[in-house]
Amino acid sequence: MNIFVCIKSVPVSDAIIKITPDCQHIERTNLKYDLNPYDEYAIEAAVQLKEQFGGNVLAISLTDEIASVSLRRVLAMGADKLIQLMLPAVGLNDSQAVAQLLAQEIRQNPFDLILLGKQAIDTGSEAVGPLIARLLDLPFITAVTNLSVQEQTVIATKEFDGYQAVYEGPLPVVITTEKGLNKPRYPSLKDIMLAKKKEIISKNVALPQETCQIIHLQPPPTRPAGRILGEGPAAVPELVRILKEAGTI
Amino acid sequence: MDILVYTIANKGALTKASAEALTLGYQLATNNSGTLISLAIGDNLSNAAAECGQYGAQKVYVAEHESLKYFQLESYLDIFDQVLARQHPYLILFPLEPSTRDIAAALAAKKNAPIINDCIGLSIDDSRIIAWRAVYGGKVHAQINIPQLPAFITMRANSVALAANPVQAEIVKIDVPTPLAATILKLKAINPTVTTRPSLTEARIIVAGGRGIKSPENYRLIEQLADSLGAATGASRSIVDAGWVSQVHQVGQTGKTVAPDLYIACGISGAMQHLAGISSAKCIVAINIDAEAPIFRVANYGIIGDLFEVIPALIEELRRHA
Ligand SMILES: Cc1cc2nc3c(=O)[nH]c(=O)nc-3n(C[C@H](O)[C@H](O)[C@H](O)COP(=O)(O)OP(=O)(O)OC[C@H]3O[C@@H](n4cnc5c(N)ncnc54)[C@H](O)[C@@H]3O)c2cc1C
Repeated sequence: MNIFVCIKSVPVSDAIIKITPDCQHIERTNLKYDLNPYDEYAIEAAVQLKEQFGGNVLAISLTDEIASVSLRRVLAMGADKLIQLMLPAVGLNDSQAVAQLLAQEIRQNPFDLILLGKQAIDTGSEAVGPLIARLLDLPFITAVTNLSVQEQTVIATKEFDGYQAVYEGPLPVVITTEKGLNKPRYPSLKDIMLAKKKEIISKNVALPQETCQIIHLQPPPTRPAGRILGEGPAAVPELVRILKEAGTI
Repeated sequence: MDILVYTIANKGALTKASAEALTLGYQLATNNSGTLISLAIGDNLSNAAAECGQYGAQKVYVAEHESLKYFQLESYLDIFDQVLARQHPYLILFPLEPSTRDIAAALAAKKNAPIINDCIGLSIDDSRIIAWRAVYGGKVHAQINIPQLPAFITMRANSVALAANPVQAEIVKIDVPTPLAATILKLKAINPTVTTRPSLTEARIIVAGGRGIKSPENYRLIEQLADSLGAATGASRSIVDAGWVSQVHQVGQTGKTVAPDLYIACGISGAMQHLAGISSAKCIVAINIDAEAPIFRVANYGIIGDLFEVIPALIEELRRHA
């Protein structure tokens, strides 16, 4: 089975984010990057399927010079090859443009399955997976919490408000992965050593036409200073009084 | 220029997030000399359809059939196509939830149109359409310019103040082909997840528990407080990963993003990744034994204390005031 996994390197989840003076970008010096957490579930699922059926796991990322460094971890996690589509370092936030660049590369290769994290935790808006699927004329299932493949058929579970739906369909399909799908592995030292020999292909890509752009960044509104109402159960009546008075409860 | 709002019904009633999307759509449409159109797809929709008129929808498209009870992308898209063949809205708004993410993206793909999910604001200034999103785990708010129309926008629940704008609505029934056209993906099974509590993303009040509850059975305490407030129950990642509660309750950067009127964090330290999920909560209350816990830096009101004493006292106090 040939599996494509689309991945992104994002600022670590506990990074302090500073906005540049022109309010157009974030400060990237000293910012630490790591693999998008949702992508770890996609990679893990791909590697498990490879272990079950054989084949190849190809990781592909639209990235840039600064961010790309943390992508290599997927090779230690079991991906066979990494394709880096290098953007000029200005960032690209339009899901349509991102999907087009990825689909353009993916369609030049044979594949049975495309996996992606359901969302990039930096600026992602959960649309890239479905858009890639439609560009390649494939069905898609998003935010999957359970996945299995049996004889060219995919069975996947997705959570809705009030119910779980189980979908079934033939390969190839596009699947985006939700937390809870699996437990991403920690690569062993041996995996890390082996990964050093794996192939990384870098290609420059030009910024495509965008359908929308981020034009301004600002900090969120500051929350009003909080109040400690007191210690222990003695503070409870005051809390209830305040919330009642505000009409909150 | 017209605006189309897709609406969702839950047990026959319009969801609050749908009413919010209608409220927003009505404001934008009337300020720009357009009309508000709505569409509902599913089962048991007659009450919800009537409610759309309360929120300003002049034309209410309804595709109602029991075979549409559960979301099936291709069948829902076929119905959208019927509506979009008759109407030409320049903005298509959705309340964000698991089904609308898929519909919005699939429609946008077809038209190579802008798709922006999880917006917390949307405005039209001098015919420029601007959307707002919370990015980088809510640490930054981004203003997004949408130069190209039509655009597909999903709105985060609880980001619009509800306003009724009753109008005389024309209800237009859409023919649902039966049986539904065959699709590549088949809905194989539906497993209802039974809960009497409101959904986390839509709830007006959320009570959430963290590692401070010490063991899985103590999550009962969180549920009891939630029930005395008619609230949804949330959780930090550490108790989800420990297997104490199911993933669907996780709030935060790798869980749900919520924007309730009131969020009560019990025994949650307030890690950045948790705060990412609650930054748009209107009021945060923290109950924590550690006065130095970071949650107190974002909480509007804090009680320093043992949750095993404070929560029962709170339940009792609420009962006395009921
Ligand atoms: C990539 C990534 C993504 C993540 N995503 C999320 C996410 O989506 N959501 C999330 O929540 N976390 C997330 N985390 C984890 C996050 O960093 C924290 O580890 C987690 O939120 C801590 O959970 P907690 O507050 O329950 O536990 P702790 O940090 O252990 O805090 C427990 C708190 O309980 C208090 N306490 C203890 N006993 C009592 C008592 N008797 N009464 C009252 N208070 C008491 C303690 O003082 C402490 O403040 C993520 C981490 C990473 C790396």
